[in-house]
This record gives sequence, C-alpha cells and structure tokens, in this order.
Amino acid sequence: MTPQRYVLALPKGRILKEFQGILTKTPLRIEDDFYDDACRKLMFATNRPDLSVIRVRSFDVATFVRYGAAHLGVAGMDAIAECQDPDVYVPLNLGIGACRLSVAAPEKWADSEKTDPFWHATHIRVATKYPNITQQYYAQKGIQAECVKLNGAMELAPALGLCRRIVDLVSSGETLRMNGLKELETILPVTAHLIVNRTAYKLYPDAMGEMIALFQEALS
Amino acid sequence: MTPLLPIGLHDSIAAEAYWLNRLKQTCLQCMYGFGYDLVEPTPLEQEDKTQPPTGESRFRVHDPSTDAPLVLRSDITPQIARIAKQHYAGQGHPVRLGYVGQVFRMRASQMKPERQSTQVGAEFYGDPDTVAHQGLLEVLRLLFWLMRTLSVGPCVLDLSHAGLASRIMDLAGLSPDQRRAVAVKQKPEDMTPEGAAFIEPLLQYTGPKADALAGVYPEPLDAEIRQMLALRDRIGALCPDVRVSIDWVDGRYLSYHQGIGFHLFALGQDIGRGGVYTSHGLHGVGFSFYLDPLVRHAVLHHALPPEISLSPAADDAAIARALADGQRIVWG
Repeated sequence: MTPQRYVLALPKGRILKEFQGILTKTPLRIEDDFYDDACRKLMFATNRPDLSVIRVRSFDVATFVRYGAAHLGVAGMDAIAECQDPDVYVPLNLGIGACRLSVAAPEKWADSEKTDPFWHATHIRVATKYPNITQQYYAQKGIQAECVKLNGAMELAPALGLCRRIVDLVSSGETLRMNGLKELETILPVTAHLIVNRTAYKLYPDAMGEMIALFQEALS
Repeated sequence: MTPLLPIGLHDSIAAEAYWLNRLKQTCLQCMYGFGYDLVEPTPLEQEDKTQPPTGESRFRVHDPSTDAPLVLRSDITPQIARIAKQHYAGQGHPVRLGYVGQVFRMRASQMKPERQSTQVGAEFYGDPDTVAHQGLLEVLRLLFWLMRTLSVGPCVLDLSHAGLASRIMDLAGLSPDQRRAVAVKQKPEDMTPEGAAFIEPLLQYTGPKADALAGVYPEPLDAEIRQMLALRDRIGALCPDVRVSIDWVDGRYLSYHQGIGFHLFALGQDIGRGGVYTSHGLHGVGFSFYLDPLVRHAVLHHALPPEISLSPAADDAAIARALADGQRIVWG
C-alpha cells in the first residue's frame, strides 16, 4: 500500500534555517529552488522520487499534517499544542527553534491584584495567537479567559487597551522589554518537532518509520 | 428566498443519492446474510441518564406532549445495546444486530465540518468469553466482507488495547499530561531515565515492530501482550487480504470501548472503528463506520448503471428486460 508520493511540510522562517543544519546530516536533498526566497514555487522535488517537500507558514504545517494533506512535517510545539489533535503524532523532538510560550503583562499591571483597578480574579481578556492553550492555562487557575485572536504585534495590544495580558512566543524577551511588558510565567517550552499524520503512520509504517529514523540518526 | 440549509447539513442528490442508497442496501443485505438481524432505531429518544455520556454533543428538542427533553442521536451503537436489552434479552445465545442510519452532531469542527453522517454498524452480544473470542473475530470478518463488497480497496486493521497500555503507564507512574503525550507518540518530558526507558518500548514497538514487545514487561502484562500478538496473527490468517497491525497506545478510542479495540484504515482515511464494550449491562463487541467517504469514493470512481433508450410506447417486456439487466431507462 504505497501512495504515489509522500509529502513533507516544512515551515518558512526561523525554524527552517535551523532545520537546514539537520537536513545536511541526512542523505535527503531538496531542489535548489527551495532555498531561493524569491522563488514562488510552493512544492519542491527531493532526491527521493517518492518524497516532495512543501513550504508553508509555520502554523499551517500542523494543519496540513492534521488533514493528511502532508504525511509529515516540522512544526513548533506551540502550533502542535494549539491544534490539540490526537491525529497529529509527535515522534521526534528536533531540539531546534527553542523558545517559550509565555504570558506577559504591562509592567504596571504585572502584580494585578494590587495595581490593576479592573482586575477580576475570574475573568481576563488576553490577546494571543493561541486561544486553545491560553483558555486551558487560565481554566486551570479558575479564570475564564476571553481571547482576542491576533496574528502579530501582540505586544501593542495591552498598551492600546485591547487586553490586560498577552500570550505569545518569547525568545530573548527583548521585544517584550521594548514595549514595556513583563514576562510573568512560561506556559510551554517550545522546540520544533517532527510530526506525522496518524493515518499515514498506520497505512505506511515502513516509510514513516524510515523518515523518522533518518532524522533521528541526524540528531545523534 | 429559499431558506439556507443548516450549517454542516446537506441534501444528497443525483449520483451521490444513488450511491448512498445503493451502498446502504449493500450493507444491509450483507449484514442480514451474515446472520445479523436488521434494526432501525428511532432517531429521537429520551436521554438515558443511567448511561455514561458518549462525549458527542447532541441536538436536544423539547417534547411538548411530555415536557421531557429529547435527544437526536449522534451515535447509534448505544441504541442497539438498548434494543438488545429490551427485545432480545434472555435468548441464551448470542444476539447479532446490524443497522444503517443517519446521525447528527450538534457541533461541527474544522476537521469534521459535516454535522450529519450515515452510520453503518453491527453488534454482537453474549457472555464475556464468547464476545471476546467468537464475537470479535466474527464482527471483523463481517467488517472485511463489507469492505470487499463495497470495493474500498486495500485495508489496514490496527488493533489496540486500552487497559493494557493504561496499566503499563500506571506502572511507570505517568501523569495525565504524560499519558496524553504517549498517546501521540511523544516521549514524555520530565521523566526519570528509568521511567523513560520503561515507556520507550511501548512507543517504539508498534506496527511492524510490535512483536518486539513480547518479553519486555512483567506478567501478567506479558501474557496479555502475547495474546494480542496471537490475535493479530489469527485475524491475519482469517483475512489474508487485510494487513493487521498493533498500536499499543492510540488516543482515538471511543469512550465506551474497554479492552481490545480496533480502527480500520482505507481510502487514505481512518474509516471505521470498533471494539469490546459493556453497555446497558450487556457485553458486546461491534464496529461502525460512516458511509459518507465511501459514497464520495463511489461517485468519483464507480460507474453508474448503463443507460438504455426506450420509447414511451415500449412494452412491459422491454422495461422488464432493461431492469433485469441492471440498466437505467432513458425515455426517448
């Protein structure tokens, strides 16, 4: 039972640059166009006739794999945890793209109970790209989180009165500091993982196992 | 303006309606021929508060004649157990029931935007031993027979055992978060090296490597692992055209399955599921699948009956010949 071709979804941007370091340690090679940022192609050939690579936004890798449109992918744990789908298997931590998903607040409201006159211990509005993770995190504290979904420039939201907290990826913390925000707590440590669609894992165990082993060997 | 259909609901027309009805008929005939009584439960019923919730959200309507809330079914399996208990109790031999019917989910999701599906299934009830041995193999044979009759192509049957994996994780002292990680093949974090080494085989030895788990864990776990491997081989011998594999941990379990469960993969999808369970005090084993992906596949890949042109003046003999040959009349 072999499909014509397996599809590996790779994320654009920061993770991809670090992933190239792993890729060079495998026998896998992607056509040159893949590394050309000016190239508008989205699907690329590899030196394996049975494997194509697609380049999509980091967050969309999990979606492609979830739907089975891609058999495998490389995605940050933030995107994997946000999609919360038992159909996305996470067999290998690639250890790259390390950062953390944190909750942050304006310096003046960091100690909410004492300094924020509008602080409610049971309800909070949060700007985030991660509503599922955020709601779960606050639910565990007994707080109902009302999430405002933003896709970027999260740090602006509290200053402009949109919310009192943000939940976003933090790497060095510099962007937070520049915008007068204080990191309060880490919700999730994030690294990129190799993910596999559950159906592909069951239907093509040899091919998926081989791909997982390929990257595992490159890491060791 | 014609009112819009509710989100996630749709009419079947033309070729889709043809294949939906033809496949339904094929399934019913196959199950009946296999010795399964056909049943058609009512789509609306009073909520049974004595049964554990199925996890699926269901539409509720108010019954003005009794003031009681009614629920529109989202899964037919619990209804079949109810019927087995109400109408087939005390037979002294296994009860075999088959069904096809529509189910409705209250909430759609990005992954499952449809809120209506046609569910097909068969259930076998009896004493626990008969269910676990004769019943399990019998319903699987029926399932494979159906898949062959419906021409779905190559199938993979993936076996799992909810209790076994759970007890191994108990021994390793895994937290709920760590169990969720294991269910998606992720090595749990924050574990001692000994704990990680204990869990590793459970994650690694699945599918083609499943045999390697024999001898890894202590008794009585090892005996159960070997039983699962033997069961896989028996099913494989019984149905050589189906690849049978084992995944010791799979998070996609129906809430009422205990012990051995299975998923059937075909047409590039997780197409059917089933397993051993207890419902309404009955021990049962069964399977169910949604007909919808099979209908879509048939519309795209199977030919409709050949057409024959007849004049409106054609006599009954000509019509009878056309119908007997499985042709479709186009009136000229």
